[in-house]
Amino acid sequence: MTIFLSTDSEDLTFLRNSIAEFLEDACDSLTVHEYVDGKNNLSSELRDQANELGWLSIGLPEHLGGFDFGFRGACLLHNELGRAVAPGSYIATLAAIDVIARHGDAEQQGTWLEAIISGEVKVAIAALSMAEHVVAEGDHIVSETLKLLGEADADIALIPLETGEIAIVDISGSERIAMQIWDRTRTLFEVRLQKAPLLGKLMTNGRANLSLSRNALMAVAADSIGLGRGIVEKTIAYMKEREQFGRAIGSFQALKHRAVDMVARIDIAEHVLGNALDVAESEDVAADMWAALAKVSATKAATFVASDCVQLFGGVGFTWEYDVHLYLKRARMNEMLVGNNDQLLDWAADELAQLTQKGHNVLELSAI
Amino acid sequence: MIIELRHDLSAFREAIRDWLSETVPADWAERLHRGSEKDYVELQKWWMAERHKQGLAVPHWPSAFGGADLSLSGQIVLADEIARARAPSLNLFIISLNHIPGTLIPFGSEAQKDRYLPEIPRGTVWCQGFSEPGAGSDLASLRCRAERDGDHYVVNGQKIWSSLSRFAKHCILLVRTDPAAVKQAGISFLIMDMDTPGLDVRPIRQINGQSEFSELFLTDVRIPVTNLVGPENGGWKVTQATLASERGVLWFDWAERRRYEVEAYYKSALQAKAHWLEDAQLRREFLTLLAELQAGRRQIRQLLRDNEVGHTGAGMLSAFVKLHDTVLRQRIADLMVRIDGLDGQISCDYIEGGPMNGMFDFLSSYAGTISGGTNEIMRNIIAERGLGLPKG
Repeated sequence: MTIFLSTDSEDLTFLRNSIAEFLEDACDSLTVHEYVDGKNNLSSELRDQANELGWLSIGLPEHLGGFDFGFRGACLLHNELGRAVAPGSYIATLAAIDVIARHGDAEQQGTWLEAIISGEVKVAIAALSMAEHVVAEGDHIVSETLKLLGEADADIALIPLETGEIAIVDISGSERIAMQIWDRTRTLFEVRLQKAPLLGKLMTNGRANLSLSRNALMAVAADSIGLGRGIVEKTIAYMKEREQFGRAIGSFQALKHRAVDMVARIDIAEHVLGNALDVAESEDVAADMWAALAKVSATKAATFVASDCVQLFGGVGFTWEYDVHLYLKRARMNEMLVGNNDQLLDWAADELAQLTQKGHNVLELSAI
Repeated sequence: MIIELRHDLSAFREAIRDWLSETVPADWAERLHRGSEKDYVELQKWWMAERHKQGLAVPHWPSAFGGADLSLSGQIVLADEIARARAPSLNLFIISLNHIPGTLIPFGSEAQKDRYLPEIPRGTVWCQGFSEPGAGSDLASLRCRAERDGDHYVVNGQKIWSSLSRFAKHCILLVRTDPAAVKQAGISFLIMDMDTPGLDVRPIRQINGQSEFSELFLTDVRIPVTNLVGPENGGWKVTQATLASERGVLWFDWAERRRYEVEAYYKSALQAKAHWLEDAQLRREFLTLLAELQAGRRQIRQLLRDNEVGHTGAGMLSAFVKLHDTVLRQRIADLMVRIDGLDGQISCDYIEGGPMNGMFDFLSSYAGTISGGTNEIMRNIIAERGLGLPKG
């Protein structure tokens, strides 16, 4: 039984199903638990498979060797990775690929895209707010430390500069401290950037830095929606089999209503992301505002859902052995990435005021 | 007539837009505000007549019954332009326009279709006599009794939550014809004229001060057997058709109107440099609701698309739309109440088309979360039919 109603086009449905089927097999619950406990190498195995299956080119235009699904395609991948609570640094990698494809010149595209997609070059992005930036002088960075999201052994980082451009920084020689975080499916580390070589700059307009965070925001949103879907599906399945007082706990009205509220909440968050993806595709002036709103809405929904699922699983929900804590931890981590939700709402409120005063309408939709 | 342009949707849209700007007086809402209930009914009938002149009264009906088979996309264009122009709704005619054709076309006799359908575009108001004091969510437990007496039914009982019935000419009435049968099996579906002796309509004063709903008291009301829709004791199946006759266009209409209201509210707050725009918490809440408003509009568009292609998930989606839309309306109103502070506690009369009013809208919003299947019933339906959770 499908619990979540699909909004995908036919092409995307096909793509989604193929990714989901692959992950069901390669990234099942037991394998993820083993990874979390340091007993397998799932993250790099998945990364190799992703490369072979072409997942990382989903969003790229055809002339750059991609499948031309745009960031919508990348978000679909994040969706399924979140749903399977799959380990890896896809948020950083896919956001970087998209930004280089969109804002890099031909030389930069040639240097980086294939190398990143193949995994030859590993990439990280700034983990915190979109207001965060570093300072470059000449051919190197002069700022101090920064928290990055990506693979711990990342070679380069994409970081906003104070000038509004995005710096491609060589961090291969930089000292770094890996941070032990609750969400063990991700890697967060702090790097000493001082004197790290500046390999190039991506730039278009003065808001080029925002396009990196826009991607990261939508990626986090898509991952969160996937998390929500995954854990709600598992919880509802559990509610059908777990019996107390001689009947399935899913037959109790109080619990049924909570199950519905969870599904409804995820569905709405998905529509906010759908809006963000549409306006991003048309390069609408409100694209950044909607990306921020999508991230807030999806991460709050994922945390709401995952925390209620712990409660609905009851005692076993409190164990390391069951899946639900993996989802809850990743959901809480997502809330904090690319700026906390209150900051993002404040920023979106300022954007809304400015856009409205300039006569832009942020709610325009086609009739059907 | 504008309806003739329906096969070219952009020409259709343009013609509607021009016609609206020529036809709808800019100050209709203000005039209503100063006017009486009678003015409201007159405005609604005038508006129906104007739409009828353009073939836009019942365009969504099948052509065999006076409609134009207007596609769902065409209906959306029409609703979209009307909401955009902030023109009046056809609130008084919701039952007439949707539930009556939805019932009579599949289940009515030829005589019933011939008699009742053509008069609707000329402004006939219908109401619904379904709920009873003891039969709300559990509608099938209704007790209003009809006993056969020759070629009439004699009806005794009480109905409640009958919307706008004070202005209605006819009523679709659910009665119990077989008290011995199990609940659903003893129900019949009747058409009652509202001027039948023995019928007493008493307005209910609602929490918002208005009286849109009434109670119907029926004492030995005689209804001809020819007014039976569907077979005797077969009314429950007819009722399902009645309740399923609205396929999302009304939700679209309401959500689009709310979009323009919220937009206007925000713009005037910006212009007036309203104090709440400096309050981080209130601003955050507003942005959250704005995102959900947009999400709801997209959800409704998905419902309409699914309905158009006959997608099997559409039934569940309409329950999700009901949950989201009614609660969203409540949450927007709740935020406005808190923004308004003490000033918002000054009571007011609200009339359709006027600016948003926090307390009035907050109080009125419960009509949405309670009626049309309470949101709790909606959750049960989704849980059991959509999520496959076992019955309790």
